[in-house]
Amino acid sequence: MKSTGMVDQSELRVTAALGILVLAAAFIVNRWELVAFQAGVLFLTALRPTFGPYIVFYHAILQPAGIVKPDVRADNLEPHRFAALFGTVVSATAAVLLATGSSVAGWAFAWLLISLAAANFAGWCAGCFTYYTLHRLGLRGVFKDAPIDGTFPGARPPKGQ
Amino acid sequence: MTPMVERLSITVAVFVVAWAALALMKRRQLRAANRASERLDRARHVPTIVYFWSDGCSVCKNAQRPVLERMVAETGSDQLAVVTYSVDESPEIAREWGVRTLPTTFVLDSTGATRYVNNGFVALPTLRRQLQETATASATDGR
Repeated sequence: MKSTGMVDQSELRVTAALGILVLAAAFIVNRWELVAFQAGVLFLTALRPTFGPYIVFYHAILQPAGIVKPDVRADNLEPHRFAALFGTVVSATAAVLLATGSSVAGWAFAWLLISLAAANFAGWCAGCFTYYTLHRLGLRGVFKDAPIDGTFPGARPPKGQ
Repeated sequence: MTPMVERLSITVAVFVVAWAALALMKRRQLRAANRASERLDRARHVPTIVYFWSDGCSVCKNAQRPVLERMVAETGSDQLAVVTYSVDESPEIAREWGVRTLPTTFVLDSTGATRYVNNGFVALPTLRRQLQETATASATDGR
């Protein structure tokens, strides 16, 4: 098993935390546009993590101000991009449902995304787990990375490995 | 109540209930573990790791067991005891300890009190920190 590089885990935590805030705010003010905004943010993050607005915010404001410190660990980036894409699909579905008046189903998807983001913030990435499961099932053309040695699939890798 | 206040209340309630449920689950599991650890046959009064695994759990065999073996090699087998249970062979013991997921590890101090519960895989640095904190807490309690 190999590691493809280093990933700043603070970027992931900030993306998850701000995602929770935006989606909770969307629910409170009852605006599907905020859910669509979240879908856009996740799409940009999946497309190219350095384009991710929350990651840009982290590097431009939170990190220089010392509010959030970098936490770089050996990790695979691809599973996190896949997780962001997965989040894009869920939040886009929620936004479409809400915009077309299916409010119960729409908010159910939004709350599903909040719980997945909370799990991600706590250290377990459900999208990465799906990625590693697909890798294990043999879909290695796209899902080429295996979990970091000694780490449960989707769990945040330990420091110093 | 305006709809916005209503929704704010729902949001706050969801987060509070989720946090309380997690805290309660953890507390109940610690209590169950403390009851079960009283029945544990501990020949030596050293920090102990109680480890639950099963045959079908690949993370247990490929990841958790090597971490425990490294921990014992680092600490020394005279300073750390590891008690291992297979849930296939001892399901009733797993129930007594409140095991919900595999692997699960319980970190006990030298008096036998459960200090930490790790549901799922626990990495070497975390286990190392937990054992250091357990030793420090035991020393403070013993003063």
